[in-house]
Amino acid sequence: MDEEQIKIGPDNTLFAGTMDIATSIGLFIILAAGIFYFTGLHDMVNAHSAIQNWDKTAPEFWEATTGNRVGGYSWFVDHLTTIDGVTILGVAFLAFVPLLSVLVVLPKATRPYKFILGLLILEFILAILRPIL
Amino acid sequence: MDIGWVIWPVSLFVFTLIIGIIAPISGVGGGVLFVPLTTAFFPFNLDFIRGTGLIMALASALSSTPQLTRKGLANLRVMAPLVIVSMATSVLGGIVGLRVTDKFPAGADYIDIALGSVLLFIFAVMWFSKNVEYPQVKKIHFISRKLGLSGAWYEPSLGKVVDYQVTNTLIALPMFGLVGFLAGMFGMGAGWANVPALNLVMGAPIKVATSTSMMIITVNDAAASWAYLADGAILPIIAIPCVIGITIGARIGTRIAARTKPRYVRNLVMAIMLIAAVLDILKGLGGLGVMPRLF
Repeated sequence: MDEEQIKIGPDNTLFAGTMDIATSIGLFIILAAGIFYFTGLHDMVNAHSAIQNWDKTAPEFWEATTGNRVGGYSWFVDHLTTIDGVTILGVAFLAFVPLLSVLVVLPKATRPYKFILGLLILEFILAILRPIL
Repeated sequence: MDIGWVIWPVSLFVFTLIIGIIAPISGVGGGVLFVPLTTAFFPFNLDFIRGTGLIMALASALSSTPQLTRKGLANLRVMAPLVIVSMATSVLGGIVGLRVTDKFPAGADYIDIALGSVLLFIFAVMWFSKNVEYPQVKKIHFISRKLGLSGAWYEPSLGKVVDYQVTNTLIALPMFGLVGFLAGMFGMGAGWANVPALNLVMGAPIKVATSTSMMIITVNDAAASWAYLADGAILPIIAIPCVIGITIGARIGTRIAARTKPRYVRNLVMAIMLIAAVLDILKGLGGLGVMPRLF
């Protein structure tokens, strides 16, 4: 048996394929938005303001730069027309990739793994929703 | 137009590029170097440093996991039962870490001291743990048997396919719980702890342990990242150059890794970690007024 003949199982294959494609999309969003961010194109917080306040804690930073209190995801979801809002969306997409990869695998999983992966999915969804519940 | 601010993203890019190159050669994740060194030498608040550390570790793990899974080295079946516990604790770690800096005036100083102490512990783990390339698993725990925690990969240095079986899943669970908490709290990948637990406790061959650790990091760090995102602790001006730097650096490092002597690089990384640990503790003690501020 050589490298070509190793059977890694349909669950592992599907997981790897989904993660590969989704990660590329997330990194592309961050990279593309990042290039525009550094040109100063329509940003939520400009670079000068960010530098003057980045020694503050995160809640103090956003209050000082935008006048808003952060809590939940509205601080970037409501600003998707700004380039830094899109960058953070790319980061959020990356943080969603493992959940997406497990969701795709679930229908193909064997019985004990359906239960474990179901539990994992539930926990992950709770982690995402906790700040807004 | 004043472009003096450009120095910050450029230096972050270069800094994380170097970390990205060193990390695959030395066998540590990028976060374990990024968080303490940035805490010691850059002016950013700890919230943004930890948030960026998590995203960097996540981006790096997401980039390498698919390839490792296709080779049979990272295994979803081994990872899934472990992250049920470590994902919950990593989210908890993220929440606790952010609350400490937000609610207590000297919270960041306490976190600095705790981070330095954890680094000293990591240093000790790396110093004393002797990884086993192909551990012999004599007794298979019934859970491992029931879940079919086994796999195979082609090992080019041996010219053959190596089969493996892992065990002791229940014994390893509390360890992964603690590791998840530290990863979420300090914004690190925590491969330094995942690998010995998988290798020495669960009997996974070292290559399987390092690869499956990467897969574990994808889930733990992604879940903890949502706590940091909800608190606004991700700042594009810091995160963008770091994610790009670590991604490019890791690709270069992976190529160099085959031609370098990992032991020397590992010793260098351990020395850097020791210095960073001492600096973080001194910074925290200086902030608390226990001793004069050094920087």
